[in-house]
Amino acid sequence: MIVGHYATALVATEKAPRAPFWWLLIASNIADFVWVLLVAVGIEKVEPSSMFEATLSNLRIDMTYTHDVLPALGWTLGVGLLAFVIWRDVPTAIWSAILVAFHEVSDLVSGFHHYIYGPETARVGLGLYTNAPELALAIEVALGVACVWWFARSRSRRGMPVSSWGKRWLYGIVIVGPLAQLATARTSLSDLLQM
Amino acid sequence: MSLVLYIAATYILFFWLLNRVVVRESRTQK
Repeated sequence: MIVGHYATALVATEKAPRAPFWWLLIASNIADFVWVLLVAVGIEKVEPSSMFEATLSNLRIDMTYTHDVLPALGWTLGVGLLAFVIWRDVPTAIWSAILVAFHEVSDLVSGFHHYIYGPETARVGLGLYTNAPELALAIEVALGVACVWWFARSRSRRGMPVSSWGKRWLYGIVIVGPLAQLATARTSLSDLLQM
Repeated sequence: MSLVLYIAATYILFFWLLNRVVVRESRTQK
C-alpha cells in the first residue's frame, strides 16, 4: 500500500490543521521510507530485487525493524514525540502518531505478513499481498476513496469546499495509484513484456 | 536493486502529486 497510506494524511490534516501537510504525508509512510533506506544499505531485504521479476504475490520481504509490531509501536511513539518537539502542538503529535500506527494496521489487513518482532516470533496479518493481491488493491482503493470523501466533506463543512479540479485529482490519484499495480499483482513485467 | 529504486520513485511521485493538490486547494481558500 502506497497511495492508501498517503490518503490517511487527508484525515489528519483536518484534525491537526497546524501540521504541515508534507509532514503528515511523511508520517503516514515513514515505515516504508525507512524500509527503502534499510533495503538500500542491506539491513532489510526484498526478493526478487529486480522490478522486472517482482510481483505483489511473489515478493519475499524482510521488514523486521520497520514493520514488525513491536518496532512499529516504537516508531509510533517516536514520530509522535518528534512532532511534538518540532511543532509543540498536541494535535500534530497525536495525529502524527496515529498515522504511523494506522500504517501498521492497514498493512496487517491489506499487505504482507509481519511478525511480532522477528521471524522466530508469531506471524500476524492477513498477508493479502501474497494470498489475494487483487483484494488488497481493492481495499487500498476503498480506503483512499473514503479518505478523500471524508476530507472533501470536512472542508465543505468548514466553509472551504474542495474544488472540482481538486476532487478530480484526489479521487484520480487514490484510484489510479493502486489499480496501476493490478497488472503486476501476479505477473511480472518480464512476463508481461515477454522479455 | 531496480525494484527499490522503482518503489522510491513511486513514493516520491505520489507524495508530490498529493502535496501539490492539497497545498493548492488550501491556498485558493485563503
